[in-house]
Amino acid sequence: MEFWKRVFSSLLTGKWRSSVAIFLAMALAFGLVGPPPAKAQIGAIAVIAAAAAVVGIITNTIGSLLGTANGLLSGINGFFQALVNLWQTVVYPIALINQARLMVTQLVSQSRGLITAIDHINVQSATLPNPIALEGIIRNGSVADFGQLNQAFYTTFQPLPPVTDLDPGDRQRVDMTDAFAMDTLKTLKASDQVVQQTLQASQMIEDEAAQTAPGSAAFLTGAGLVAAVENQAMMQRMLAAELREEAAILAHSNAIRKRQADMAGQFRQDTTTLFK
Amino acid sequence: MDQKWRLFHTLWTHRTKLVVLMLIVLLVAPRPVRAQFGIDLGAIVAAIDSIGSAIANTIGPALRTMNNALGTLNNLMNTIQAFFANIVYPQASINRALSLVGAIQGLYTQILTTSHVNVASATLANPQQLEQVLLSRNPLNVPGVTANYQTLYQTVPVPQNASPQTRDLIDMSDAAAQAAMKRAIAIDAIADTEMQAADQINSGLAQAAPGTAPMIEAEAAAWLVRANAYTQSALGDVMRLRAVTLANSSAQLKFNASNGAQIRQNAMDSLR
Repeated sequence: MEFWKRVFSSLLTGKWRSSVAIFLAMALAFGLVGPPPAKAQIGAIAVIAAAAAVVGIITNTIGSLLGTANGLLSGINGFFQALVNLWQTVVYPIALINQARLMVTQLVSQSRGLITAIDHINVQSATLPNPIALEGIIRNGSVADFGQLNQAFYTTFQPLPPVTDLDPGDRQRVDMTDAFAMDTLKTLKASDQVVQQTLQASQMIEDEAAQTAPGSAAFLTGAGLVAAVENQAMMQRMLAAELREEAAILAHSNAIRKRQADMAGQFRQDTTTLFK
Repeated sequence: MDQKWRLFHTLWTHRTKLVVLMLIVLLVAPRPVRAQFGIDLGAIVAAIDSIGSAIANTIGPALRTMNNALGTLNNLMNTIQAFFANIVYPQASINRALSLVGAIQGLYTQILTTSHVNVASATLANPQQLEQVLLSRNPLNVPGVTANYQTLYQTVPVPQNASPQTRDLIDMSDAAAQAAMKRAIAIDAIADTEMQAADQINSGLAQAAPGTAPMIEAEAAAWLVRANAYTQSALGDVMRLRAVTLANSSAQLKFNASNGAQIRQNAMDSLR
């Protein structure tokens, strides 16, 4: 004890006094400026309260959210199940897909041969060689024998009279009328060929329709519609040919009327001259 | 000297440094903490257990339910994918359909060539000229029809050579015939345009996907409706022309009756 007293008094009074004072001032300054020591583990009560809060969050917030998410997921499942049922049983039932294909096959077997046979019934009716030749040419559906058509036409319906036998105007009109008749016959030969090509297209579409899927049927429908447009264009060409032909008939009969008027005028002129 | 006293002496010699060191240690070193032991430990373990139970009883079953639902959803998605890939949009069927469209395109090319085959048949100069205009399929040639027509079929007779009624009849018949010829040129040109459109639509169809094919189909349907309308229009032109032809033959009978009456009147006048 005596020792500690001596130590303490030497620190406060001796030559150490100033050193101790400086040291204490520095220690105080360090204590104020330096970071306070941290408290490590909090108390057990705080831990339990925090754990209870976490449990509360798990049960009330996360649990509730997971419950809602499960409900939604169940709803999505139900929706997709309904969608699958709709597609498989209402929109694309496999039985009906097969039935549609079967219907195409049945129609092909029932009608294709029959309709082709009807279409190929021979309607040629001429009995003499020249008409038989012409009839054969105008019904053969070829566009490669127009020269033979011209020849057979003139053989059957007579060639253009020579210049000496007919008035030049009448001769030209006869040539025009013959030309319109032959134009129409040639257009019909082209049309017959196109009919065969269109029928070929329809057959190809139908063959594919017998094995098509709902997703590829649109291509066939599109192809069919395009074929129908082409077909209408050919119908219009035929109607144009018919228009030319009918117009030529009318123009020809009208020209005869004009010619009669001219001849009447000429007759009047000749009579007047005769009685002068 | 005893070893204990020597240590003490050394410490005493460095007492100032020791005091400074102790003060620094006291100020800087963290305070002693209480570690887990005793009754605190049990309470903390129980709290952690309760968190574990909450996770196991609340989150665990919910996640299991979710997993089951996702598994079911996955199966449904696979079913849908397989259904669409195998039943609704089988690739093989789509490829076959596209190949068919290509094959039909080849047929259309043949049809186009056939429809453009030259059918001109006239042998004399004037008929050839009129025929060339009429088969030209060029609407710009329509104004040239009248001159060629009049060269071949002549103009309306002068008033000295025909009665006004006959001149009217001739003029009307010429008009109907010329209009029909002009319409024939226009209809041929329309048919050409339709064939070009059909070709273009078919090319579009050959490049379409199953989902876009109905769009091309809609355009084709629109063209089909348009083509039907033009066919109807052409049929109307034919009917109009036939009506004029019919009226023409009827007018001829009327003229004959009128001429007969006139001859009868003239005969009676001459016998008076």
